[in-house]
Amino acid sequence: MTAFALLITTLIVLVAGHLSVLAALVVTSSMQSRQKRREPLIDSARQSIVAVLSADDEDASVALEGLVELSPREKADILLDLVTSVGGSSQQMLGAIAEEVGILPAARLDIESRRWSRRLYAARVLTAFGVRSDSVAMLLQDRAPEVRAQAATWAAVAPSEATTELLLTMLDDSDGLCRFAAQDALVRISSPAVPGLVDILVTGSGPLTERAVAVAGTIGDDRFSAALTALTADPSPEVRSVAATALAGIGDPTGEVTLIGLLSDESAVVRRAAARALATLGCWPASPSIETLLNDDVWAVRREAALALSALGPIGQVLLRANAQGAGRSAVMAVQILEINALTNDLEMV
Amino acid sequence: MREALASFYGTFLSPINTVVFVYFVALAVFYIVLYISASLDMRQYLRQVRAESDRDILSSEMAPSITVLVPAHNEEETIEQSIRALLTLVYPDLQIVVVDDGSTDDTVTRLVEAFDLVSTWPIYEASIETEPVDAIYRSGRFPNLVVAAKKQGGKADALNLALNLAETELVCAVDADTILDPDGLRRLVRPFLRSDDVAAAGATIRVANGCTVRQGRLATERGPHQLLAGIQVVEYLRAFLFGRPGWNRLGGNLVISGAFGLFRRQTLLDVDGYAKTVGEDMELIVRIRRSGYERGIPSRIEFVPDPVAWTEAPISLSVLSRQRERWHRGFSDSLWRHRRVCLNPRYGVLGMVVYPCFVLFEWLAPIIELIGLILVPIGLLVGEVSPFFAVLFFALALGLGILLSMLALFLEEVSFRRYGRARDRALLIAFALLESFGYRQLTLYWRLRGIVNFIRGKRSWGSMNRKGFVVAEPAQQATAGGRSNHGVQRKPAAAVRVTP
Repeated sequence: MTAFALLITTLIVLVAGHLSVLAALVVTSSMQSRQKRREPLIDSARQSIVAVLSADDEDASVALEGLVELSPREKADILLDLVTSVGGSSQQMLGAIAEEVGILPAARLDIESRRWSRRLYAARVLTAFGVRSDSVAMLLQDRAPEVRAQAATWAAVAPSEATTELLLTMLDDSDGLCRFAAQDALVRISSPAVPGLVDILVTGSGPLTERAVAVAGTIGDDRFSAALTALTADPSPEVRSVAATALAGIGDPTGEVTLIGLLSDESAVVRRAAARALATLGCWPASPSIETLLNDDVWAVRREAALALSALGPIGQVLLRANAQGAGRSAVMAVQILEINALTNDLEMV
Repeated sequence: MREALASFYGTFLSPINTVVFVYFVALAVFYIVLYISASLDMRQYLRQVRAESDRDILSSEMAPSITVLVPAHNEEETIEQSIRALLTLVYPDLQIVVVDDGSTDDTVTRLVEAFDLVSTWPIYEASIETEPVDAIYRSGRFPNLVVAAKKQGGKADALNLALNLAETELVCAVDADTILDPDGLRRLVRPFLRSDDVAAAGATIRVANGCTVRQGRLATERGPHQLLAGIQVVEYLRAFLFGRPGWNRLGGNLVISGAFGLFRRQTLLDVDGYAKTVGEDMELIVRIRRSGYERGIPSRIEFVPDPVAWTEAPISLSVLSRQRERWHRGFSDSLWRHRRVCLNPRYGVLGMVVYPCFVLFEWLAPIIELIGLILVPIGLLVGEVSPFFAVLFFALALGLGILLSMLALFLEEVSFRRYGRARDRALLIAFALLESFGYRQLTLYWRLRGIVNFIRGKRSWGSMNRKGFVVAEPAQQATAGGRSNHGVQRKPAAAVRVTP
């Protein structure tokens, strides 16, 4: 009897569930249909803004009229969509429109919202319009990682000494997305971030240094040279390896001697990175040193050495041919790379 | 005779019937928990993606590089469009490696003609052993495209060769017959940016039947009108909108579809790549997660519901039956290979929650359902089960199935709304209702056949004849000046070759 009661109750609940889901589907579907009916209105508003942007003498009030009947979210979506595709005076004009229709004031208020998704959206809006505000900088220390990451993107758009400092701190954030956003923002900020990064290279250690080195290598500024050279003697092979790659990224010829020294490093990862870095720098005098790696115990190092010699021009080619005529693993690798070169030439001719 | 049967039923079968009943209740509770978990996960995800800006990674010099691994076997109908779609993927640093696994049709010829492939002889480190390679080609027009042809060794073997050829930080395994959303990779890469412990991320697979394809991309997203394809749409929505996201909060997924998944390359090499089995995608995930506990390598598995790969669903019962039989056989094989994980505290949440749940609610489900289908009529026959109880029980079983499908449709409606037309949505509701009458019983049979064939040791894949996508207009040659990722390709395919 209990089982029957349970079954009947469950069946009733199930039927009620079906009806509720069906009702919900009908409601959401009708909402979507209503949204669809608004599409011409949205398109028309977008077109009026585009018309204002393409004709310099147009009055922005024409664009404002088109936006009157739209909801705040619809207005924001249109303006955000457009502002990410334009720059200069058009961006300024869109900023003025966004200010006028209340998008930017609302975003400034939402920065302090208790809901992380609102703070995130506000940071996105202010990033897109390149708004400079100390209150956005506060979001770099927000408790929600998504918001911190978005604020890092904003900091790249509106950099200052204080935000750069916070970005450097964010390189050691507990959340990977924030670390990535900080690295990316520092690369975009570039030159003003160099002194802070040099400090980290000199005083930092472990993964933090690795991340800073990766940024330094991408920025490629001479001011990193001394710190990176020092890091090629770091106890961690990972750090030595990324430092070698970064030295090549800087393009500073004074690093060549250091890199040649790294060709005999005890770590295969570092030897590979050094060979690749010397090839990137086009350091042909290093060819004889790289040639010795053709006989390295590690296959990946031999391959990198062969590729490096191949990239170093005639002298590298001569050394490869000389090795190809010999015996052993250096000959095998040299023959393979020379065959590839021949085929690649054919491919280019095709 | 009838009395003897009734006595036998009462003594031996009635307890089993009770077990079936309890199992049904447990299954219902499990699905409700899974749905709640999926809804919470989806809510969090949607709030995030709707609020944040989405273009930064595309211009970032710090974005991790990705190689798309495409195993292909007898895919001449769809391969060209699939590769064109891959070439138009929006991602800053992207390589594509296609491996033809001993096709007997014109798959390679199609590729050679379509992409100006020229034979080359690169060097690569054969970290994972594979069948012999016949040829490796590079495209004269797309420097980031490499095609390899090898002796047939199965999908896993083809993926392993592609893995050997790849040199990037991340690799993305896709099926040759799938079409990816252009910005799918950008969204799928997020979990890897978030945590160094993420080993793999899976995405949603949707049914492309009914949609039209233009220049390798989906031109219109529409639901199919055919019954079989339509029901599969509902099935896929159920699996990918609340099955997979639900596990994100309950201990992590055990499956990433082989049709679209992103992996940390080093992790794949650490676990020796794909195993040669019919369920290689699930087996790999279980192995990665297991290795995480045993060796401390990155092993977190994430599911991201937004990036979508579109695939052509079978529209004939014979092809569909082979596919489903193979899926369940592969599923059984993966669970059997890693049976030591089950209820083993050493494997934490994997051993104590995820694995047992998959065995109990996925693998055992067809067996229990079959027992129920046999015992209830017998109980009715001998008068041990009241007809009212039996009718109610079947009504509940069907009702629960339909409710889960409807909830999946509701999740779709409030989240991604990929099927925009009201007609499509109405059809999907109809398909959700019809699924329980005939189709569900067929899948029960196919899954049981998969279990039986696994026990009998069947290892073959079977064939999948594809009709090809509906093309909106004659496919245009994708050009470097077209809307492609050419502007952001940085390096040509690396020169590599097998070392002796």
